[in-house]
Amino acid sequence: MRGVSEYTATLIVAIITLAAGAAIFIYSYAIVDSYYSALLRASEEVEQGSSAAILASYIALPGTLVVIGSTGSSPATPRAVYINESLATACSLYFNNTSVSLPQSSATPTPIPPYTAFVIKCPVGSATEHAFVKLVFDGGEAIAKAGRIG
Amino acid sequence: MGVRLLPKQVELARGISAVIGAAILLAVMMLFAAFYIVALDKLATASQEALKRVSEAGASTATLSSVKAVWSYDGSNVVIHMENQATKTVLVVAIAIVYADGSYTVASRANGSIQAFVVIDGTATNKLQLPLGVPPAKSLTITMDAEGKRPISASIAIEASPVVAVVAAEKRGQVPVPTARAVGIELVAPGATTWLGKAAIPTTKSGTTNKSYPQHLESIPIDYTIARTGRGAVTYTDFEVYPVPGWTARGGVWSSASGYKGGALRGADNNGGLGGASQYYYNTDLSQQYSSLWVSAKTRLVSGVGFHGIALLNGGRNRLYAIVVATGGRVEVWSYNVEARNGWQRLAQATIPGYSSANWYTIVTRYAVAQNAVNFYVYVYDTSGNQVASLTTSSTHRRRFTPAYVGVIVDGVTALFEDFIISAADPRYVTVSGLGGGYVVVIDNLGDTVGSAANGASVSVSVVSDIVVGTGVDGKIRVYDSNGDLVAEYVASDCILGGDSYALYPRLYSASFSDVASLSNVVQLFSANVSLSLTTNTSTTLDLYVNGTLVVSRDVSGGFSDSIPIPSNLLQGAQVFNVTLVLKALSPFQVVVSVLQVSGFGYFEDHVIDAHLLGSGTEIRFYNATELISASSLEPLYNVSTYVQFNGSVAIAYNSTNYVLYMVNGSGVYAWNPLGWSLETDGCRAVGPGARVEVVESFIAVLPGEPSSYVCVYDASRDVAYNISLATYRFYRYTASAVNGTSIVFTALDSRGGVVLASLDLLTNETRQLAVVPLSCAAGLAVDGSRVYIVSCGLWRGITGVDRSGIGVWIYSARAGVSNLVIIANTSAVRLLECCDRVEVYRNTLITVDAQNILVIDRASDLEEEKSVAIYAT
Repeated sequence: MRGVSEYTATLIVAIITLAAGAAIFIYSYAIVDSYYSALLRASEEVEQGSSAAILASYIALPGTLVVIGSTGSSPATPRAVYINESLATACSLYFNNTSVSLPQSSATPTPIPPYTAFVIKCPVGSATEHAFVKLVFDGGEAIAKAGRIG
Repeated sequence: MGVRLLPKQVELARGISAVIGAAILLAVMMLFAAFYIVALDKLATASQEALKRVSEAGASTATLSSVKAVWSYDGSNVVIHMENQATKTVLVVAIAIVYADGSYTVASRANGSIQAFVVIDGTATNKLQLPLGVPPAKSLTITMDAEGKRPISASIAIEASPVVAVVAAEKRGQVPVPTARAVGIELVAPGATTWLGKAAIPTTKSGTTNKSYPQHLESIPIDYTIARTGRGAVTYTDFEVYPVPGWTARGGVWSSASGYKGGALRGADNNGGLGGASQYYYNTDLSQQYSSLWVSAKTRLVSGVGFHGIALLNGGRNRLYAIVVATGGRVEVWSYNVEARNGWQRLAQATIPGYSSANWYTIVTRYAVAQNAVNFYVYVYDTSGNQVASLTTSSTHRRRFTPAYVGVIVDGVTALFEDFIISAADPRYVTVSGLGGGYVVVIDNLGDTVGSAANGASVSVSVVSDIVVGTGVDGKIRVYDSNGDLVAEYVASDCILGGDSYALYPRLYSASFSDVASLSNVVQLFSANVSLSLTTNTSTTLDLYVNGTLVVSRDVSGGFSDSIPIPSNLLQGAQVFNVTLVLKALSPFQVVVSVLQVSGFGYFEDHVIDAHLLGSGTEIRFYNATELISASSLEPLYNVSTYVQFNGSVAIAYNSTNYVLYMVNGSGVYAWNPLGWSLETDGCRAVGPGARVEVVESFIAVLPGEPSSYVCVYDASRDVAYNISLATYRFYRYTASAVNGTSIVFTALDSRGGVVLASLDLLTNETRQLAVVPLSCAAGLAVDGSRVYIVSCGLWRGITGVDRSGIGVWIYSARAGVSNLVIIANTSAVRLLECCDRVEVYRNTLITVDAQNILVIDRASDLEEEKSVAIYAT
C-alpha cells in the first residue's frame, strides 16, 4: 500500500500544530488584553469620577431641590439625578445660559464644559425635609444630602 | 530476500521530518514565550497606571485637606477667606452662596469677570475672574455683596487636579449672624485702655427747693432803741441823800434813813412847822406855773400818833393842804388855815382796809385848781401797787389857794418818806409807744419787776409801787417781742419816773428768707454751690447761712447774682441744705429773690451706671455702656484729664465699691476722684508696653508689662505692696487681662514663647494656666462667667481641637479651664493698634476698641457653634 508521503504528513502535522498554537495565542492575548483594557478603564474612572463636585444642595420652598456643582479641568456629562435612590424624571440642568432636561439618554448628550458651575433643579414633595441626592455622570457620580431651608 | 536495510532516502526523510517537528515545537514555544512577555507587559503597564491614579487621588485629597476656608457675614457683605497651606497651587473654580430665602449666587468661569473685592496675599483687586489660582502658603479673601440677603452658606470649589470641591458652610440653616458696628470715637493718638462696669459718673445735680421763685420780701425792723420822749416830773427825789438840794424844812427833825429801797427821809414832828406840824418841802414856787399837778410819796409810820403824808403850801406858807395817812388807818385830806382860820379842818377821809403801821403806803394825789374850788383826787397804794383807798374832795373856801410849795408833812409822828415826785403827768404810769405786739417791763435796781404791760402800740406801765424807780438812778425798761425775745433795753442815765413817756425806735431793718434745698441719692459730694440772684432797692448787707453756718457776708446794692461755694466741711454726708438769707439795712427796704438754688457736684446713686471707660490720648472718657451698644455715635458723659499718654504703658481700672478710678504708669498707681489725682502707691509701677492694672476688692494688681515676670499687688487696706512671681510666665507688649471673681485672668508668654491664658487668685496667690492660646498675640481680654473673650492681633496658631485658621482680628471664646478656643466672630473690620486694642463684654455684646472706633459686636447665644467651619472633600 502506498502511504501518505512523510513530507506531506509532516507538513500537515506542522500546519495543524501552528494553527492550534496561533489560535491558543490569539485567544489568550484577547483575554489578557480585555483585562488590561478593563484595568485602564477603571483607572480612568478614578479620574472621571471626580470630574464634578457638588458645592451646595438644599430644598428651597416650595418643593424644589437645588443642587449647585462645578466641573473641574474635564468636561462632565450629567446623565441623571437619583433622589432617595429613585430616578428623578423631571430635573433640569442649567449652566452657562444652557438648559438641559435630565435624565438625558441620547447618543449625543450635552456635556458641561470644564471649570463651569452648574445648577440642577428637581421638583420634590412640598413636605420633603431631607433628601439624598446622587448625580450620575458619564463615568462617575457625586453624592450629597440636601435639607430644607427657608 | 527477507531483510532489507532502510534505504538512505528514508532516513533522510525522517531526519527532515524530525527537524521540521523540532522547528515547529520551537515555534510553538516561542509563541508562548511571546504571549507571556506581552501579557506581563500589559499587566505591568496597567498596574503602574492604576497606581498613578490612586497616587494622584491621594495627593489631591492631601492637598485639599491643607486648604482651609471660612466665611463670615458683616451684615452687608459675604467674606470668604481661604488659605492654601498645601505645597502646590490650587485652583478656585467656582463659588456658591446660598441665602436664607432659598436663592443663591453662583460664580464660575462662565460668569466671566464679576464685581468682588479680592485680596490674594495682600494684593487687592475689584474683579473676580474664575478659575483663580492660589499659590502655596498664600491666602485669598473674597468679599462679595450679599445683595441685602442673609447668607446661610458659602462654598468654594477648588481643583487640585483631579477636581475636588471645598465647601465652607455653616452647620445649620438658620444662623444668627454677628454684626459689627463702629461707633466713631476719633482717638487723638494711638493707644487705648478700657474698663467696663459699674461706675459713678461725676454729676452736677440741682436740689429741689420747697419754695417757688421769685420771692418778694419786705424788711422788718429788728433792732430797736428806746428814747424818752416826755417827762411829767417837775421834781422828784428818792431821798437817797439828806438834805435834799432845793428843799427846805419848816419844823421837824429831818434826817436820812434806810428806806424801802435804798435810803429814805426820816421826819420827826417837833410841832415847829406850820399848823403845829412839821413840813419839808421843795422850795420852789410852783403856783405861777402849775394850777394842777400830781404829787406822790411813799411813806411809812415809824412812831407816834397823828398823820404823815404830802403837804401843799401856799406861796405865803401860812396855809396848807395835807394829804396824809393817819395812824388810825385812814387816808385823810386836811386844810390848815383855809376852811378854818389858823386851824385844821379835815376835808375828807377814807379808811385804808387792813392798815398796818408797819406798811409802806404810796399816796398819789392830783390837785386841780378850778375856778371855785381846789379839787383833790387821792389814791393810796400798797407796796404791791394795789390801790387800797381813794377819795375825792374839794376845798372851796375863799382862802383856798393854788399850791406853791409841795413837800412832806409829819404831825405827831415820826415817819419815813421815799419816791417823792411832783409831776404834771400821772406818775403812776410810764408810757411806752412804738410797740408791735410785744410787752414792756420796768425793772428796778434789784432786777425786780416794778411793772409790766403787754400789747398795744402804746402802753402804760404801772410803776406805782416804785414811782421813782429803783433808787432813782438805775432802773431799766425792757421791751420784748411777742416771742419773749428782748427787742430793746433802756437803762436810765438819770432815772425812770412815773409820768415818763418813752418810745421804741427801730434802729436796723432786716429781711430774712430761708429755703431747704434737697439733693437726692447723694453718694458723695465734692463741691456744692448756692446760686443766688436777688435785687434790693437800697444798700444792704447780705449774710448767707447754710445749715446754720455763715458762708458769706457781702454788701449788696441793687442787683446781685452769684454762685457761692459751700465750704467742704459742710458737705460731709450732707444732702439737705437749709439756706438762709439775712439782709440788713438802716432803712426799710424790699428784696426780690429771683433765684435760690443749691447744686452739688459729686456721685449720686442714680448716676451710677454701667460705664465703658476709655483711656486714650491723655484723657479717660466715661461712656454709657447701655447707650454705646445701640448708638451710632456717642458723646462721653465725662472726661478726666490724665496728663500722661496712653501708649500701652499706662492702664486704668476702677473700683466699683468706692468709685475710685486707678491708673498705673511708670511712676506708680494713681487714684482719682473728681477732686483730682493722688498717688496711691509708688510700690507698684509699669515697666513697659503691655502694662495692665486690675482691682479686686482691696487689691490693686499691676501687670507691669514687657519684660516683667511678676504681678505687683498693692493691698490698699494694709498699705503694702508686694510682688508675686509668675515663674515661667512673662508679660509682653500684647499682654491682656481681666478680672474674674477674686482672680485676674491674663495672657502671657510661657517659657517657649507661646501665648497662654493664666489666672492669679489674689486671695491665695495661686497661679493657674487655663489654656494655650492659639494667637501670636492677644491685645484685649474680657471674662464673662465661664467664657473668656480675646481680641487677637495676628495669626493664630492651631491647637488640638481647633481646626480653623484665620487672619486679622478674631474674638475667641473659651470655657475657663478648658484649652479649647473657638472662633465666635470675625471682626476683620477692626483696624488694629495691636498692643492697644481692647475688648469688654457687656450683656450680649462685645465692645472692642481699635485705632479709630469703638466696635460694637452683637453676639447671639451659641454663636460660636454657629460659626464653626466644616470642610468637605469629595
